[in-house]
Amino acid sequence: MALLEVENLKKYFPVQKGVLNRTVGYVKAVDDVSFSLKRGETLGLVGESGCGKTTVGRCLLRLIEPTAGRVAFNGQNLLELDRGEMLKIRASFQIIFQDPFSSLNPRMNVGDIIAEPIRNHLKISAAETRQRVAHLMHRVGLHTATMNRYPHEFSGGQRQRIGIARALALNPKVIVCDEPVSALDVSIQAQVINLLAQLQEQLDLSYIFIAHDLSVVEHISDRVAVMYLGRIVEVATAEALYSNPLHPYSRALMSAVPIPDPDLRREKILLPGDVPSPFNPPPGCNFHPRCFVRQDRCARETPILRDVGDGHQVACHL
Amino acid sequence: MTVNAEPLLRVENLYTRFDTMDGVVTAVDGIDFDVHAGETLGLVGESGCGKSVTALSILRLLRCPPARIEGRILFGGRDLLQLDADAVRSVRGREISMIFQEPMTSLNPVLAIGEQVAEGVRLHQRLSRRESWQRAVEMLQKVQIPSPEIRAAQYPHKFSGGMRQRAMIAMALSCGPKLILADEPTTALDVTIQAQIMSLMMQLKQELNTAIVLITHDLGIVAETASRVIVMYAGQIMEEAPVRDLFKDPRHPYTRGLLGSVPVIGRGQRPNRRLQEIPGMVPSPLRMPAGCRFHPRCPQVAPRCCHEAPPMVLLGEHRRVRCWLETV
Repeated sequence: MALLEVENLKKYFPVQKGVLNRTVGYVKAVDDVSFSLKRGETLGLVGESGCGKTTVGRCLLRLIEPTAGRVAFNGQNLLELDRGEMLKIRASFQIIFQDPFSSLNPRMNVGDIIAEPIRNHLKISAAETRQRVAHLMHRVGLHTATMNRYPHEFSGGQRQRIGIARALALNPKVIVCDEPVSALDVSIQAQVINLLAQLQEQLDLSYIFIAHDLSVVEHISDRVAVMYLGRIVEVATAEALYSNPLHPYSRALMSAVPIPDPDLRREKILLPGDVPSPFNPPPGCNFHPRCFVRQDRCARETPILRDVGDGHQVACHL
Repeated sequence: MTVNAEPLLRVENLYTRFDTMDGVVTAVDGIDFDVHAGETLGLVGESGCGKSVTALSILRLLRCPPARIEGRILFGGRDLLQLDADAVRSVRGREISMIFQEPMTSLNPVLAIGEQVAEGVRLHQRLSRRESWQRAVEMLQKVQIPSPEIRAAQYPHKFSGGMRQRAMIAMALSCGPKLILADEPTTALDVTIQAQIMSLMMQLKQELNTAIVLITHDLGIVAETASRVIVMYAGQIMEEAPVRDLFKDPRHPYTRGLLGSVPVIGRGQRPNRRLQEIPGMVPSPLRMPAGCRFHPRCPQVAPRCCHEAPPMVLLGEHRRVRCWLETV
């Protein structure tokens, strides 16, 4: 059985206008998203800004309350839990944020930042807590001697390690990694990616890895889901998706990534225009106005995600 | 490319220092390079390596003090560092223009887009308001902004990130400059939009025979667009090479480290899902290591690297490396 099962997850943000704050419509940030995550697996979630990938990550942990759907963790629907129960679940379901600058409290020292989840969840002595923090810091490659320092004294890469140590504090099973390396320089990015891969092996972790960098996602993921305007348009193993992307959007996305090899000049598929506003998405397949293989029916019927063999799913009429 | 021709731009022994509360920061530490007419030169490196400061120094866009710029920047037979403010202003925008990274903050939010594009033309080419506006609309059309007449009258907040960057390109090209300094022109954009913008820039560059200095941290973009590459680290040039040589035969350990640390799309996963790391981090500009600046992170460090700065070793035309390994 899958460790995490997400069915028909939706998040509609109301748009309010006027003095009475009347709701005039909804931004469908996440619209009917379903996927599953197996134990020890990494599922990559890719897409461009505004596609809803971060909202999905936050909805899973109920940091943003989803509008509808089901998030089953070990068979238990998280969306039905009350606040107290949800807090308990968060011990095994953690998140690492994108921005290592704003996601750490600048007034807390590193030891306290990492100890906070332990103090909140476990009743153990101060000495034991300290020992655990030291162990966690060692695990993510930070010097335990820096425990009393404050976040501003650390570089971006080190801060991201602090965030990872905090996420690991309660021995979670699943970690949502929301753009964990996009704020880092390439040499530091490699260090953090390697650390995440190493921790996954050692601690039997499962990751939801959210990123816009397709090369990083290919590198770290077992399976990848591509999102566009709040919907998943394609899911496949990393290998299948990157060698044989089926959805026209995935194809354009893959072809747009620059390759650091001057001899490899591929034909790029240039998409016209910008991503449309999620407040007023196009009817039918919401990619059709930019699609290079569209047909008449694409403007009318919304394609559903269907299996085309070996777990490769795609939402396209073709 | 003709190698013997007089370069369009020659930077000689450029030092840019900042006086700060904590001491003097040498952001650019004695760099020199040429840019030839019509070529695309890639300037790569990680944050803080001095690549942006180099561009800002060339256009004299840094406030002095706190900045102190030394060296020579030769452009069209003149040293830009010796010119007075008026003379620099006549170079800026007309002969050398700049595209900034942040299309959100580098456009004026209270001026219509057309006005901002027209401003440069009006000042440099002494056109009337009507003529310069007309020119702005033409430029917006050239960068493929749909319905440019309507769009020109709109304000930046109505433009998406990609469209703002197009407007920036229109501004940069409006006076037909010989050289464009593009500082991370697509870093803030999504990949599909990045592909649009890069292809547009390259196409216009061909059409107008403009030289581009492309400042970026993205090795993929460099591989696809530049003809020659300079790799910077901690304020110095570590390696320069024609693009193919750099990617096929990187000579500096730092260049090799950079190339190894990025995952390459479509190449599948590496064993164990491990990337090659460059250990440690970029040194603080206030506490530069002695000897070679890269030695604390270098996998091939030798005793002499720790106390003696390596010389720049010339390996051929446009091929040089700052490393002791090349001296033996």
